[in-house]
Amino acid sequence: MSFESFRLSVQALAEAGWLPSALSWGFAVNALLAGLIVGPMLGSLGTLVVVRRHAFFAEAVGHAALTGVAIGILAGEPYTAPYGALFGYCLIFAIGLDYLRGRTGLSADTLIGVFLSMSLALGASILLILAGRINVHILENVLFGSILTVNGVDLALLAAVGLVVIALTAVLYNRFMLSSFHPALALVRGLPVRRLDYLFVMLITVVTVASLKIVGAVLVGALLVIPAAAARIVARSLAGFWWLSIGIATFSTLAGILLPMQFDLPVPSGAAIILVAGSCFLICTALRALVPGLKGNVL
Amino acid sequence: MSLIAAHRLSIRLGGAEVLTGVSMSVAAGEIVTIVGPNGSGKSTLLRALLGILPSAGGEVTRKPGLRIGYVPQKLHIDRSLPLTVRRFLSLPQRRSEAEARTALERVGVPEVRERQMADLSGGQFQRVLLARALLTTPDLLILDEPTQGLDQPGEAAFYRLIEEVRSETGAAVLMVSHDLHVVMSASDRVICLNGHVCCQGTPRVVSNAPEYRALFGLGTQGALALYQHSHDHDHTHDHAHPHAHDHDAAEHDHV
Repeated sequence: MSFESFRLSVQALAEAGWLPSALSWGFAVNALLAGLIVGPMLGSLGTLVVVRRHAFFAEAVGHAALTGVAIGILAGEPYTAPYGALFGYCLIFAIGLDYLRGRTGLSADTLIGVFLSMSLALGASILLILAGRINVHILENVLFGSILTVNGVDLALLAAVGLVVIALTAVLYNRFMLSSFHPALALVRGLPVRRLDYLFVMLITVVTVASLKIVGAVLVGALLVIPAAAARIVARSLAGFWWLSIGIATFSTLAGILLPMQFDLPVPSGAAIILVAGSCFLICTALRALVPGLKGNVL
Repeated sequence: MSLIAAHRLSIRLGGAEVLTGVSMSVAAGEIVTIVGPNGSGKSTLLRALLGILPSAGGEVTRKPGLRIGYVPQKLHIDRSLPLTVRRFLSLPQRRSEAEARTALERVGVPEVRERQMADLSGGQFQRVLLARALLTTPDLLILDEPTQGLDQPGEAAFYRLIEEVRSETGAAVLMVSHDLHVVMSASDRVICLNGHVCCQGTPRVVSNAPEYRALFGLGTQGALALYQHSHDHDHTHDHAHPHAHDHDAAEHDHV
């Protein structure tokens, strides 16, 4: 299999000292490949999340994944990959939330707050019922991500989701952008604003579930928000915003996977990834304060 | 045949009937302005004509293939969004360099092409929105209080620009305005709205209509003074209180 031979050649290069020594382990190569998909995917979608003000929503979907995992285990799916329940529950959560937005007269943040707490309560209840049956460390992996658990199935799923998401955002990016920017203007141009909205929350959900293994339920929303937020602070054009967000997300993911291995730190990959992304964010805020050309557009 | 028309149109928003039995139309090449007090349903009527709001009764008819250019009420732009004017003009449809340049020159702001949207002044911003609307070569321009937030000279210049665009492209214009003074000078027809159509006609007819005067509290003298001096844009009245014209509009025009 070509993937096997690729992994073996990477491992060989790492042992010869050409690549970071951490890559001499097979699971590390898997994790790194996953990171190479997760980074660009979340970085690209993140720019729209930030412009559409869906940051809190992205966080909530990540937390819903915890309940999805609990339901999956309860239903007898494998502990390490309860994808059926994950996709099912998270999609119901996201679409239900989006459906009620605009029908209740409540603001989005209030509605998300209600959904998020109901979902967490449900998840906590199911997990306690299951407490006798599962190894608690599985929960740690789900919450904060782990590079040890990424296998071929996860990679295949991630690659498929990555292709679909990147294709859809490439085609629809301008339409998503205009409908976030000014829905009425988009409607007059004949864009199906409401359907785009549903499609967008579904994209966020699918991406969140697919990235769960590496980044973890608690922090996957952060990787949709932080790189894009950092990029927006310093970017001077939409293209720059997009590329920089992808760059920061990819760099953070790869560094977050490699650094703990390289320095033997017992840090979960999700936490390391977000710490790196957070540092990039702080650097961007500092750049904005120090470089006069970047200050221009703040009141 | 009219470009767009409402026939006994009713609109409900959140249970309340905002518009009742509104009939109006816009013919090719004419400039029609909708005036009315706050909450009279001016923007609602525009949104219904644009097809953004569903009707609760009556109907909107459009000439088949009608192209509409829409300039929304003061676009609320996130000031930290890195978006250049050039890129904004290409949302959602990519526009060539030449198209963008022509449109910006047409509205008199060729110099802002590579500027950030957030860095534009109020007047430049409105002109960019208009340029964007013109890119679709519309048969009908719909503008929702296009001069909100502009000062008097800026406002007068913007309405002059709209008249130029109309005579150059032949596009009809439908707009909502608070500014009675400019309405009287720049429109072919005025529709006075207050949940229903109070009166409509040429500016002179409307300004003499009792319904219009009841709504805006204008005495005959004030309204006539406004109309007669309307080609003179050197005035300084306060927009928040259009009825202040009642006694002193004539003097203001000569300040």
